[in-house]
Amino acid sequence: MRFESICHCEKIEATEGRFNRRSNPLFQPRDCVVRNYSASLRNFFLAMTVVMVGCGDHHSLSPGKIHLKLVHFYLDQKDTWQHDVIDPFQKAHPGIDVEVEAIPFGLYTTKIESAAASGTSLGDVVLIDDWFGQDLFKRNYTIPLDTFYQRDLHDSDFFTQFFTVWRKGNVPSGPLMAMPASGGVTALVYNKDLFDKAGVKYPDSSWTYVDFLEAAKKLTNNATDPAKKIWGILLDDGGFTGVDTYIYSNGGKILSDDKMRSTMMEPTTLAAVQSYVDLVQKEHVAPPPDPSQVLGQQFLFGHAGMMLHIDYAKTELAHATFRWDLTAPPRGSAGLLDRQNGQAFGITRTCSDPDSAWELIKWIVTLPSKQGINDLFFSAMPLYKPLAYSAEFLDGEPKCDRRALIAINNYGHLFTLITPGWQEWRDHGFVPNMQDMLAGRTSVHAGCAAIDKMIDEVLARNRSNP
Amino acid sequence: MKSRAAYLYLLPILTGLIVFTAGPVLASLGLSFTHYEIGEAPKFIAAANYSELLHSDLFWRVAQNTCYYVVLYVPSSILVSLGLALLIEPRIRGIAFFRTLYFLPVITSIVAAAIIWSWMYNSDVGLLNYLLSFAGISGPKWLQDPHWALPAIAIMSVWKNAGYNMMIFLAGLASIPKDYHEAARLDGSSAWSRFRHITLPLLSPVTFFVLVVTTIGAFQVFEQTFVMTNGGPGISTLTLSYYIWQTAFKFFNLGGASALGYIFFVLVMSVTALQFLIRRRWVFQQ
Repeated sequence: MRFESICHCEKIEATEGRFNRRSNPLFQPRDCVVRNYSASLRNFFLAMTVVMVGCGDHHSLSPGKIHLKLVHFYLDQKDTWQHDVIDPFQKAHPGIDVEVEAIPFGLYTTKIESAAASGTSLGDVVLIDDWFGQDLFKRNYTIPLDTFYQRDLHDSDFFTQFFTVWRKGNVPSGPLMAMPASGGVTALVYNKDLFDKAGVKYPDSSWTYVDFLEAAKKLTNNATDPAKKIWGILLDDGGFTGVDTYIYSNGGKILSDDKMRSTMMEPTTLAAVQSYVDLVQKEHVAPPPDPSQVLGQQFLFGHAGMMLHIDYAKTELAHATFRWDLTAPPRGSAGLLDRQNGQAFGITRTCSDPDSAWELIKWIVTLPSKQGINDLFFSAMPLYKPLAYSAEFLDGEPKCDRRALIAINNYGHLFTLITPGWQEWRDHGFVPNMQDMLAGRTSVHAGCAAIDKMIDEVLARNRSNP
Repeated sequence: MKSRAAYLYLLPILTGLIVFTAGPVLASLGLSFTHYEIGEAPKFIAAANYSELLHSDLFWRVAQNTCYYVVLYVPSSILVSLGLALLIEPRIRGIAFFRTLYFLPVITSIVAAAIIWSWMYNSDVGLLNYLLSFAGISGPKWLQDPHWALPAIAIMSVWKNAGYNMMIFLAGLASIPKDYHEAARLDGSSAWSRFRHITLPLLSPVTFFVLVVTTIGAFQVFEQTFVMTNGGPGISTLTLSYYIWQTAFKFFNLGGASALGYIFFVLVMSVTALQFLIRRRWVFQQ
């Protein structure tokens, strides 16, 4: 083996049992060196070919069938997807063969953005998160689905409040570029053990922010030992997992309705932000932000009674050591305005058979068997009403009051903050200044002014470079 | 024929160098004069990216953070690693154990180390404040306080990287002829005097090398801020490398990120050139 790896000439000599020091390439005549090099190159390319062929998830193509590739980032649920979605679909559609590729979430955005950049696609049907959807739609990475949707599905069967973000330009009149499958809202998550201990009634969807503050005061204890400290509320420090819902429900607005400019300096917004900051600085019912901790950590460790958080938190709380539940966020002076999020499936423009791809998408979002529906979308609410109201979803694990979140669709108003460059103004404007305000390092007026400036700068830059 | 074969052997590495290093370096210079988002054709905007950056408060704050980190980290790193090298230089029994011990952080995963340090820095239940409490000191909120966050990251970085410079200093110390020390000792020179007048001057070429390499490395600080603070609290630990990464791969503004990269390059080059300029004043050449 060792001899074989040295060079082609050596191999011959070694096979014949005549290997000696002269067979080393350094001692070869020049033409043999070049020949050795060519052989090495050839072997290298052969080896690389073998390696490349050996890489990847094999999927044998069935002759005579339509082949579709579905790409998603539900890596942990890959088997559930195969058993509960793909296998039944293929059984019901014997002429369609579906290959599934599950990509880790951390790599997914980069891969799909790169594919969009290079004019290729990851597959025929792709999963899209709302926060990067508009980037793809702007580049026509997916095709409009309005014709399919109007032909086969009905608005009355869906929670259509979630649809706008999936339309090109994030406007109601835009073409539907991906079919929404699941949706999420901000929820009020609470620790039942701490509520019982403090003798406070559990929150429900009738709560206002007055009730919220009163409960927070009762839940907060006076302990100075950090290990025993209980806070009434754990606040989002700007990452759009609660603060936005608080501001909008209390009459403020971060962006104008057309999302073309900041409204951070409007008096109603300043008042809403001030009341949010007061929860830390004046009422002392919430801890100051800690950027070194994962958001929600103190709640997870049982040190906070309540948390306004996107409802995906329920999957993280599945193994909490205390009893917990969730409900709709409280209503403020403007009622309940809740920020939405969600996931959808799009057909890429390179798909050779959009009709079959649509059949697959339709199957996924309506899932006739309902089996596995609780796990398919990280326990997020299916937007197809028969699935959302099914026992498979409502009673799924982890058990919590999912009905309360679904009910938000009946009385709440959903909004999004997705704009071109939104991550930049959030990370460089909203988050750092919100942290400074919550920590008392800057006034609400100065903090909001800095956010206002950053949002308008980013939006202006993106407008000038559409 | 022989030289052609040599070039053939060099071809893979040259190809890699041109395609993956030289090419992107030149391409990013061109991109820095464009508005370029992934998926769209670059649009020439002359020096607008540079102008916008130089007029941005955020950029200057980030540059200030980076320089502050360099000022905190470089001298302390050199002092600690030199101190460690002097401590473990004598060839006494069991010293190999300590050499290995001090070098261990260098081969530890930076991400794992950063996570552990962020736990140690926890102001409520962290080990560091717990230890300080024995001395009657109420420790700061290390990573929550914008005044302490960057020094905290610098301390962690010194711990992480001191072992590497320590090995270089050890090699430098070994190359100093023992005769000088013996002669000085015979003349009655004190340990401090020998260190001050023999060790330090003869070690100065090594110190210069360590200074240059450590300074460049300090400007590139990324993983620690990425893992421990995400640039916060506020933007107190947002450094240039992290800012470039965010701009390029989070906000997909590749033109702006390229411009930032070249400003960063000029900054590092200027500091390195300055170091070379003043080298003659303090580096002893045998």
